[in-house]
Amino acid sequence: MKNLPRGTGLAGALIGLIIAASLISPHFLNPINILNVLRQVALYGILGIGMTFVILTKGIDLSVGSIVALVGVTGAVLMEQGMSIPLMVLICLSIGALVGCVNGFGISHFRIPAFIMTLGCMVMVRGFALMIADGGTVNPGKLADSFFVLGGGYILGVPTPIYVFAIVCIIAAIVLSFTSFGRAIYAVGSNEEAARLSGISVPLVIFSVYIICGVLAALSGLIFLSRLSVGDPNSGLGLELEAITIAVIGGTSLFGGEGTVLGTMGGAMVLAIIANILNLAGVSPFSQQVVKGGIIVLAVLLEAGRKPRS
Amino acid sequence: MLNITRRMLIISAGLATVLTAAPAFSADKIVIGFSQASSNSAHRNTMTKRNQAYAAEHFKDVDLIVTNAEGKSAKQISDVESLMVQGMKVLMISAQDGAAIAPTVKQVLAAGIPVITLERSLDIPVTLHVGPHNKPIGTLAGKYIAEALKGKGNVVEIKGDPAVAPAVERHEGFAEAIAGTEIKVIAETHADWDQEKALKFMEDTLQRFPAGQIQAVYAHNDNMAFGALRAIQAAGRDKEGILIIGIDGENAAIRAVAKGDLTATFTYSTVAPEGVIAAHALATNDTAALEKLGTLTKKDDGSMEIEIASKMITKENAAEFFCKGFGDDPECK
Amino acid sequence: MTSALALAGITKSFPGVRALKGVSFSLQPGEIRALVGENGAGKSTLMKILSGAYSADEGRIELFGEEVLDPTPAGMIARGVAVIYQELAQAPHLTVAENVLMGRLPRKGALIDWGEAKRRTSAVVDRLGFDVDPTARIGTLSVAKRQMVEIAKALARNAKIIVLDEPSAVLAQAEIDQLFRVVRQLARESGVAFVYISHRLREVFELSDTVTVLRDGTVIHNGPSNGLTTDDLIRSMVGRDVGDVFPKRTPRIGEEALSARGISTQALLRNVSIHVRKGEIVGLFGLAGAGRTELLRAIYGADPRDAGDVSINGAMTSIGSPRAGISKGLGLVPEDRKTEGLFLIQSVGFNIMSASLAQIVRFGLLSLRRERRIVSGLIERLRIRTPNAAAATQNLSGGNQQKCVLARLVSAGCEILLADEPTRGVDVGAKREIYDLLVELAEARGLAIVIASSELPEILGLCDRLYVLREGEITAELDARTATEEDVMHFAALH
Repeated sequence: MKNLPRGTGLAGALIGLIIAASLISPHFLNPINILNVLRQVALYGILGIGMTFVILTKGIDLSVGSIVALVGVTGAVLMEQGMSIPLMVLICLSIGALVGCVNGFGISHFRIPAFIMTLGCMVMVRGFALMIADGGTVNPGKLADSFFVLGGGYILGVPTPIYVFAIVCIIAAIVLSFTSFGRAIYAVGSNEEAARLSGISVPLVIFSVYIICGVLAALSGLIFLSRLSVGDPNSGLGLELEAITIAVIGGTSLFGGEGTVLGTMGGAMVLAIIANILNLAGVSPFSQQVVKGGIIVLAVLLEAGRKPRS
Repeated sequence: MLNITRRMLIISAGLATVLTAAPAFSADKIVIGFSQASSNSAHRNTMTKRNQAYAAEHFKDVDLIVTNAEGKSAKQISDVESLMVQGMKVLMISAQDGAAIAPTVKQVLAAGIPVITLERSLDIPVTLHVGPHNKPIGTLAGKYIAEALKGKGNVVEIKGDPAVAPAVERHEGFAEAIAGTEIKVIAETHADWDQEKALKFMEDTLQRFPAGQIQAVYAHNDNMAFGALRAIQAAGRDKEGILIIGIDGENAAIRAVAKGDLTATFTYSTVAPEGVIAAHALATNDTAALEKLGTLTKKDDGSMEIEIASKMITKENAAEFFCKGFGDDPECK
Repeated sequence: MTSALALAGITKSFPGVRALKGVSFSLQPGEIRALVGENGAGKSTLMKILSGAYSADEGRIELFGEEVLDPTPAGMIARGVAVIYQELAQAPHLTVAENVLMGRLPRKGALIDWGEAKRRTSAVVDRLGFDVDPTARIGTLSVAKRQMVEIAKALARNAKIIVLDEPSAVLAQAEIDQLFRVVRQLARESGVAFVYISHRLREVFELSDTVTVLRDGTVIHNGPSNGLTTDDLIRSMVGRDVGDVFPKRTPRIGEEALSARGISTQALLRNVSIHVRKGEIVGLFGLAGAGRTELLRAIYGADPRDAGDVSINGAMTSIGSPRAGISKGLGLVPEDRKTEGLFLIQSVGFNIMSASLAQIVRFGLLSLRRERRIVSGLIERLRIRTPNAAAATQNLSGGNQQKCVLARLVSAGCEILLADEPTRGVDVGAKREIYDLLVELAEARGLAIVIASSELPEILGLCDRLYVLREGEITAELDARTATEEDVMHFAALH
């Protein structure tokens, strides 16, 4: 067990799940179902990638679910007012960046622990969403086709979110593995003081990863909005935990300095397949939670067993 | 040094006088307390706002104090206690958790203050309960589906949050109505009133049951009904004639019913302005106003109830209800 | 007389590694035996077997004539064996008395009898001849006092065999003297036997009666310390003729490279000025707390300074951050490489390139191929022992880890090297390699090097010139080739 390469536990769990799924339900391998699953992978995976950046620096971002809600509500309101789609998208992504800035500032400048800072933002941002939506959902009427395509549409027969996720993954992988900035992220997460003494600007790195996470959460929010066609201030509850789970199952260490885009993609797949199987098998919703949790613990244990104790 | 202390003393004394006198200024007005459970749904917010607006316009002799428990039963307890301190003559309350708030409500009643429960009832007897009943809605929905499907067919039930009474009762009424027919619930879940969760579940369920195997969808609220609708549309199965039923009578849903996207919904009263009218009536001992609201039933334990029945909205009568519900609808501005 | 401890044929293996092979030696009551060996020789494995934490695969342990068949930590403690590790395992919030009598506080019925606890603690502490308040919290005491508390704890448990694992690494000279006094007293008057583990060979001669040398898990030498020379010891430890401990110097000194004038910091430094020339190795000596680390970090830009300026190659510069320092050619080897210098979970390659990524950037992206070439070149040049460039740095030995830090600075084009305790925690063989490297950097590449160290022989053996720091001020600038240890200590110590 110890000397197997990284990610063996994850790959094993994934293959096991796919086999189990095919056996449990004949509908699993149905092409439309596969596309549905991939769409779920994309929706939550984008959040997971953003969270990976943050966890790599030994941080955490609990505000992503609230950002999704705020973006949904804001986007719906702006569309109701007749704003052009590109401008609306720009504003929504900026909201994500802004929340990321606030988080990053508190954490890098005032040294507030990430858990507490992002928790505060989580509550505040959700408050904003509820304020803007006046407690109810915001209905912008029929969506412009150009926007509907984002979440509900297909390109060449494949759901659009999957393309978006693919692009996000490619860019993220390039940044993490092939740029100085990516190295700096791993350095800060492995040993902040050593990073500082190596000439890395630690505050800049921390700022950046929270902005990245915020923007990706906003992107996710836009896709959710496009899919549901309403802005719901109560949406996205618990999304942050889902994103963290995806990253951690994918091998991202909560102690910083370890994690990959490929791993996070795998984590997103594990979670999406589990949810899908449980629905296809008609498992009662309460049992679903128990099963989900159990498989997560199993995947993490397998990965932990592979690492030698330091 | 002494001068500063003297100044502070005088200012504090002054403030104290003003503060204690303040309630005296509004002593002319009747204080009515309204303890709301939370503010995170359009239904609940509409309840609060419309009661407030009505009171402001029609009851100039009333000072309506509203508190929001933000979904926490512990906070609601302290909200009610603080309302008592402010000298309320009547308490309107929509409970977050009936069992938790019961002891405090008993204290209020013992102090001689009448208590009106809105929409959510308690297990203990109160002065008056006003609101819609959930179980009959479920029964109506069940009967409608049974008739429309001629007693035979498959239904997908998308339930609300399992911890609250409305979800339980909407399910029970439905289950009773279809008992004895050949209508079967082939898939069910708790989607916590959330549209995305309902959408995801419906997506997978559509995979599980290919064309022709689902005849109807019964969602416990309009939000989730919309989620199911989107999934059906995305899967290209909207021409199958699957019936989709929601509850709450949101404006957007009424429009969707008129269009034919949703099959039916049910009005679910926001108890506004009935709530504050009833409170005012109790405060001024105006039984006539009370009876105008609806059928007043007196129960064995001394409590009274006014049921605001829910009406079913289908394509035939949807037009009458445009903009009379609650929630956002771009064509209702 | 029965031996206090007799080990015979102790063998212990771990997956893939044979840590100890047939190790035997004995310890008489009142004997002070030094245990020396390079890192990885097996000293800590042996001590863990002695403390009961590990069990030997083969061999026999006898305590006071009785064989110990199934050693456990609790069992060994009950038989009178106490091991005092370098990282003291103490509870900082508890008091001295609670630590000394841990697990065995005297009781009055159901409650703890604090009066009795204080009395017993004072009794033990007085026996050791040092002064501490039994109600003081451990966290407020100095490291030296905390060590004494550990010894007191061992005595309170009637230890007859005490193992001291590298105790002097964190002590100042005066505290080391006191420790030795206590050890000798306990050995002489109470017959306590000691096993003393240390890298500092001088201490072996000063303190111990006998010495055991371990190399690669076997006992190479077992005998009295009298009559041995340092060279003998080193030869046994390393297995080859090391020659001189320090490389021969042919200095080629050029113009002034670094000049720091009037450096003052809020906490400690007062008007410190030093200068270094190209090709020169300058030492910075001082006792614990004198300000060596503070000075290096202030020059490097790692910590802010209140006053003073730094000139590089004659030109005044302002260096406010490590980034600025690096861009001007400064390089820092931090005092604690594990917490400040290395990214332990990352690979050797990652660590080496971390300050010089700019040189492998092509079209905005990192060229991994160029990186591989540069890294393997440096691994070879510096003789870093690692299976490959992708190995995790935390798996390397202390000396090789330190070489990674140096490789990073070399790769970053460092011209002025500030090294803080460059050979701390590094075994003898690797120490020499680092010395060779530093000398090569100075003489062949013209780097200006400042070495801060608490090991005086190292400074005198390696440097051209040295400064002495005392309580934040420079008290002397001496020629390292002619100064004696007494000269230097005179300026370094308080009178």
